[in-house]
Amino acid sequence: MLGRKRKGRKLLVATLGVAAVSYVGCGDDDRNPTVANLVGPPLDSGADAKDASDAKDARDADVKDVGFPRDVVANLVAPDLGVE
Amino acid sequence: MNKPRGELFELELFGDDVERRYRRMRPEVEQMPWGTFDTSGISEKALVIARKQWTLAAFQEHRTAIACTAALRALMECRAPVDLVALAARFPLDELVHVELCSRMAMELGGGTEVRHDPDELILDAPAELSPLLRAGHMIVRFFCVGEALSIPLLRSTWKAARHPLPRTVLGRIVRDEAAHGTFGFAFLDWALPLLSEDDRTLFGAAADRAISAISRQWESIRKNRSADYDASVGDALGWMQTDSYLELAARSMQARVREPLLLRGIPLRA
Repeated sequence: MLGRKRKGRKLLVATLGVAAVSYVGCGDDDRNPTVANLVGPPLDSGADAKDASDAKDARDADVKDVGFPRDVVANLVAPDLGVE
Repeated sequence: MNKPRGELFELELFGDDVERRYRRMRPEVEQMPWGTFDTSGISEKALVIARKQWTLAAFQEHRTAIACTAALRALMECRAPVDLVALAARFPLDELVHVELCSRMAMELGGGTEVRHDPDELILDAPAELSPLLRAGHMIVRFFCVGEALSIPLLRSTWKAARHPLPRTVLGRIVRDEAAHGTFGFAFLDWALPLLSEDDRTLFGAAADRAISAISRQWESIRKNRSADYDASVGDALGWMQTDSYLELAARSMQARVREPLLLRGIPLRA
């Protein structure tokens, strides 16, 4: 029995590996304790928003810890609009 | 080549009758102006930023849905008033809708970006040895009295800053839902306070301190890493506030929306 057929679809697909690859660490750590819809921190947006040509090469190399601490649960909206 | 850490944050819809029932629960989602965002005037660099930020917003909403669900369980376990629990029962669905909205915004701009995570480490649960009431309070103080209370003014201002109709509609929906989330924690405290000892209030204060300190460190990181130049095309795509305005509002809101209401209820704070 394989279950009924359905027409599911992808809602969110990571189509850009890029330099935008992030590892979001939420470990139990006093330095890292948040959960909130607080607008997200700036993270590394300016730094890793590279051109697509850079992105391919950076795919495997540029893994960064973004860090949404586990204590921070909120709609923090990221404000960083600057572009380096 | 090293194997990447964690699991990739991607999401799907079941479809068919399940999706139709879900749509009937929240019909406003399909009425939003999807497919109207013209990215042709936005630089590739700006688009990458926007896609990443909306992907991370979806991830953060996903975490918040888990936090709301954990708090809901604890509320039931401590036999909180039924109407109060019923109010909180709506929150996980609200957050799931926000997950969908932010995901679709990322896809509208070209697709999500890679976010890897450990699904076992998404939120910090309350210490298991606490009583049900204290477990509920430990989480609610952190998730709602700090996180969600602070979210209200920040989201509202972000919504006002959004210029394109699509992110403006998306953020408007989130703002309306979060208004109830932001006041919920203090309603819980108003019920729970007569049941608490001084030690219990100190415990809740320490939980709040932890969340406040974590957010403060994020703001410090924002302050240190912000760029001096404002790129309007990024602002259009993101619908976000500018950094200085955000930080100023955030500090003001932490005092008025978080610290003062907690102190007013006898929850001691150090952060």
